[in-house]
Amino acid sequence: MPVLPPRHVPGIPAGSSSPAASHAPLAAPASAAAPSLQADQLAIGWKQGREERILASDIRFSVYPGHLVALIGPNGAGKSTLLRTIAGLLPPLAGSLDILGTPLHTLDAAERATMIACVFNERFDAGYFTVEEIVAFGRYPYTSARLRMSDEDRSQIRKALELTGMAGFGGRRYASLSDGEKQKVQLARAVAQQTPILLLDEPTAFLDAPSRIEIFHLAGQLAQTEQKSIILCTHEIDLALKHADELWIFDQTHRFSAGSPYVISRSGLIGKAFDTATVHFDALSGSFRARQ
Amino acid sequence: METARPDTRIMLVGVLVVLTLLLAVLDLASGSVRIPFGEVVRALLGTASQQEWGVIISIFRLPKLATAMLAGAGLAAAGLMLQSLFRNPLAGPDSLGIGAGASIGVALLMFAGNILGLQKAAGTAGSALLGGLQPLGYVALVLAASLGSFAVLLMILLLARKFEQVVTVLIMGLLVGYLASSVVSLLIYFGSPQKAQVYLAWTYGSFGGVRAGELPFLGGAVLLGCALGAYDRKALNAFLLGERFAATIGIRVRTARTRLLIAAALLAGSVTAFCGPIAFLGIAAPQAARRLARSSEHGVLLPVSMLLGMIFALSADILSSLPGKGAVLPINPLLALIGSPVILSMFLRGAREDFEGGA
Repeated sequence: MPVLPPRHVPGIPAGSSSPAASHAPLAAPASAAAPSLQADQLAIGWKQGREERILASDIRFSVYPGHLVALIGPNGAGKSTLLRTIAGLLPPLAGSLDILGTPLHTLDAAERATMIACVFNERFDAGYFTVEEIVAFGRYPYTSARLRMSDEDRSQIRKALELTGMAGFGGRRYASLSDGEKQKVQLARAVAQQTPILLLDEPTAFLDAPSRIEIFHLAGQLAQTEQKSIILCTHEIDLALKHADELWIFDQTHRFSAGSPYVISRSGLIGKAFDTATVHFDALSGSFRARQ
Repeated sequence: METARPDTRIMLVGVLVVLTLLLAVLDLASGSVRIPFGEVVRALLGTASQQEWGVIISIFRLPKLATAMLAGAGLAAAGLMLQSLFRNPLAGPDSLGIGAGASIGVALLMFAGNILGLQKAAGTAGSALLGGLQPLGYVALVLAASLGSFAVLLMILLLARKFEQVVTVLIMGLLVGYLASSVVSLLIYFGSPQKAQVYLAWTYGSFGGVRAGELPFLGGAVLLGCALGAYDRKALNAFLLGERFAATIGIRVRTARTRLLIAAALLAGSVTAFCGPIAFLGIAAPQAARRLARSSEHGVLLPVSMLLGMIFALSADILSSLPGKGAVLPINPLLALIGSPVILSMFLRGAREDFEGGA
């Protein structure tokens, strides 16, 4: 059993009275493990032609192997943009973003695919693809153009299906599965990709309550047993507080903060990000309440 | 519902290959001059009992057979690539405006030829389509169609670089298609009735216009296009799940997309140039292939689509010479006439299976 970095680290650096004012890297575990992902003064947004539109800037974080990070924030605050920047689909507009010590933007698509696996919540018409064929997409970065699957590829596919509880579904048609099962197959595909980093974009968006909990539980398990760094963007704040090792939050002004769920939930940051005229976040119970 | 296992897929390919070969022999036997089956085989071996049968087969029917097979396979492959690339089952060589580009090239040659001092060439091109071939006119026709589709392809590639969304490229292709057909309509409106007749003859489609000397060009273009598609089958599979998805599993999206567009244009452009605008095959063959193979894997879909394309093309060619006595029915209406009901019945049966099997 490898030595894990401490799972809950104090989030607020000494001397900082207002948590909202602090967006320094908060989680710096005293461990020998090197961070798998590290950002410093990162700015994210879009590039249209020569015009840059920066959505959020001064983002700092470090993600360590075995950690599940939940990324929360209101719609449009920057969650998806950050996730897509880490996925390499959008260029970093300023600052640095290193994966395993290498600047992310210097990697090409094929190299990136062996380091970062993504599950987007896009729905698609899977046609006649079987579950096995969908999971086999995870092996694409490792196979030749002729798509010959080696024994290693096949055993990774089997292992991924077992890890996600989908063993025995291999021959089923993907389109015939329930939404929860589809999400688990997508997770299996990402696991088969054998990357140190896993990005999940609202993996519970279309799921019923039991499946939502199952996916969070599965993500936590994968982080621990497979020593992956998992970044999961979600609207399920209660589940995120319960399952995540670390919380990242964007507020309505696109300000980024990171810290342990305990610290973040008591810091008032969640309320600052989400509260409306009629709903507020109750830090003690860790859930939203209607204002009386 | 279980999907077909690999061995049943191999069996399907085997059955289709046998069917293609049978139709090929039948195609050689059918025509305005009836030649018995045995004699067809003997003519191929160079031992026909009547010398003219040997001549008919080697000069006319073998090139026609090869053209039909190349056109069928090429259009089917192009259609499959475009449908997967655009994630749209209605995409085909026509929806990229490639066929329209070829039509514009041919129409310009025929109607505006006198302005460019090409009237003579255009005139012979017309007669080429109606029977007596003149080398220069025919070359001009093929050149015009190729240039037309290549011009449209260049436009689309430039647009594809500018726009991230692949659907935008599809819409642009459709608009270019409308633009092209309106230009063609105007040319027909102001052109002479004889020229309109000649142009119309080209749009009916024919496998009979390619001679042995020109086959290597068509064959080379089709082979290259299909090889590019087969090389990119990883990308084709991944594109079905979206371009963003493809990018995250290591596919170089823009490079693969550009390569596939070039391959599709090469296939559709060359076949349209040689055989006329045969749109139906490109849309129908991949549809039928998916239904028959019950697969979305392009390692399976590409060969099955190409075989079905050949089968459709050969069937249409055989039927076109059925009236006998030198009368030949046009390919284009025939293809849709026999193809549409086949595809429709496949869809109806597929829908019932999906419904009952809960797939």
